[in-house]
Amino acid sequence: MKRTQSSDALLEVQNLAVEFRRSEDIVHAVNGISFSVERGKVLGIVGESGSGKSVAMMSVIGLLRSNGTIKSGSALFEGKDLLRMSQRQLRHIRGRQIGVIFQDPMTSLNPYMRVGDQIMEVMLEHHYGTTKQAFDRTISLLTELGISEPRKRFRNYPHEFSGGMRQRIMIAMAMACEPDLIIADEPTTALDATVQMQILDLLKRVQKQRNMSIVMITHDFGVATNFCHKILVLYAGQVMEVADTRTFISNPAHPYTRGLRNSVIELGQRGRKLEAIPGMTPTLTSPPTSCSFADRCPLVSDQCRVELPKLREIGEGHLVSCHRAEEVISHGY
Amino acid sequence: MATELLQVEDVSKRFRVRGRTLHAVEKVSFKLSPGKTLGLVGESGSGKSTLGRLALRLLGVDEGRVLFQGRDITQLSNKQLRPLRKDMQMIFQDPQASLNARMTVGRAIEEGLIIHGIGSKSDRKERVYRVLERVGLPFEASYAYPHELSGGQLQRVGIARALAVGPKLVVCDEPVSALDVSIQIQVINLLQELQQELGLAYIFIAHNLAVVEYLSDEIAVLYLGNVVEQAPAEELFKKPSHPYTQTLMKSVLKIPEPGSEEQSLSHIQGEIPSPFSPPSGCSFHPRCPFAEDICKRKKPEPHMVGTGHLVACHLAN
Repeated sequence: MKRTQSSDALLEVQNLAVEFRRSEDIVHAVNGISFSVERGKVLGIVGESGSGKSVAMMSVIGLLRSNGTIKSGSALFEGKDLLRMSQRQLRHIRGRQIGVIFQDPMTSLNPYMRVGDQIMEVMLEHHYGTTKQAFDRTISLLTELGISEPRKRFRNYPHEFSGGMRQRIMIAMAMACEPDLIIADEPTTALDATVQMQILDLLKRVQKQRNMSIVMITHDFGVATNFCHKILVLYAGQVMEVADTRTFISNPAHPYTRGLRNSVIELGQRGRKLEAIPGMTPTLTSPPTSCSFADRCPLVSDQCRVELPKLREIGEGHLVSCHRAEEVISHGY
Repeated sequence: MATELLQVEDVSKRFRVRGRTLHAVEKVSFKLSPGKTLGLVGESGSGKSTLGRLALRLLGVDEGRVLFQGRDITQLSNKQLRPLRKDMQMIFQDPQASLNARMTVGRAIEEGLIIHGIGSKSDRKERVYRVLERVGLPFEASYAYPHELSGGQLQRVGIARALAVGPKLVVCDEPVSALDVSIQIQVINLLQELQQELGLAYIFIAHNLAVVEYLSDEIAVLYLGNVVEQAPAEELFKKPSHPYTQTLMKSVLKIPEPGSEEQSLSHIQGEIPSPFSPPSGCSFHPRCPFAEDICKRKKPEPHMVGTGHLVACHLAN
């Protein structure tokens, strides 16, 4: 596999493979994926359920479920391999250098604790300033994140906030120690449309102001193309395509990427036939030996059914694993 | 009118929660003809799901009337409603939650047939196979338990179960929002095919305006229990006249054009207020970029701004 070495990489994941034990078999959830997150940039990891998008990122930061095992790989964060660290070492990094935002803030926030204390706790846990500094910083974070009357809201409990406000609290916690990287796992999926836009704008603003890196895990092509600098498409735990967002929009080279893009319903499509990707996402119980998308692919050939396509570079920084990528680009489908 | 399948007239519903009153739906009216789709769109707390359940009389109506095939069903008891239930079915967002985990898929579908006394035992089995096939599942799915199926397959089972009894009206409550994007399109296409084939009328409830636009003939936009705008789908998108409808339209993420400049995504401040204490006057006024003094004081009455195009906004004309 070609190494995409980048001097500006903050996080560099190489050949990551993750398996899960199920009652009778083993699920190959992530199958040797490599990618990098650059400083000050936003990487979108796009995939459907079972694509391995969350599993990959959660294993990198040591939050893999107990029936999962990391089989191979490295994840260099500022030169240190996160996959070789103890839980203790990882706890120092999570929250301090890497912040995490989950889809459902209600399950990540402590319902019995005032939200201000929860934000302060992150800083105190990591010895990030004195109690007084942590308090002042909490108030300024709440203000910055659009929560009015921050001193009053500091004392409220999670249930006293709306979904959008709770997600702002989660962002404040993730940002509390000024991390270099934030991993956002479907942060706006559970929110109403108008609030989703507010949160995306907010994240974009703070990302730029602080020159943070963000990994945005999403199933939504619209979110990815509007929010990220670079996009990685995962399918059956494998990288199907990586490119900067511009290339992605103008020249998607993998039939699955095209299919995903055609699945986005935009306004004004009444009366137009929607092209569905037939079939469903596979669950791999053995490592892939041929193209995992072959059964659903409109361009499938004999080669696809017997030979695993390698991830190869077809343009600058544009990687794709498809035997027929050139045809996809020249003819579309 | 005799041709209407469903008429909902000035329907209101309130819930009492811990001594407080929640106005879930306020004076909503619409008509639905056979084979047509009414889309209900709104964010959480808009009352769209409640309205769907009122239309099916799964909930009692506090004010107003519901007529099904011209017959007033507002006051009917559950027992009186039972024979009508086979004509009025529902598809839910989470098919897993709406299926019994200990019952095979075939049995779950057959149950509806038994309740409505449809067919003999062998007829019913045949019918279950047929309806499974129609929604794109093999007959073997009949012997599967819900946990053995994927989300997309389960939603097909949900559709099969609703269709098995031969309904005329189906309320689809966010039927695709929990599904993967590639599966969403499959299910949307299936719903459309079934409608054309069987002449079904749908009430399609969703928060995604693009999906609602795609599927609906007429659309009602709800905000805090009130219809703020209602119009034929094409008219609504050509001439969105309520500021809230306009905002919702801007909140549908478009894939950027190649070479386009980065744009701010958000077009509106604030969030939907609590339905327990809705704002005075027009309930949208605290978030409305055009709000004037009158909007705070007086609730806007719906008025016509085009053919079949109703808007409840003081400033729209």
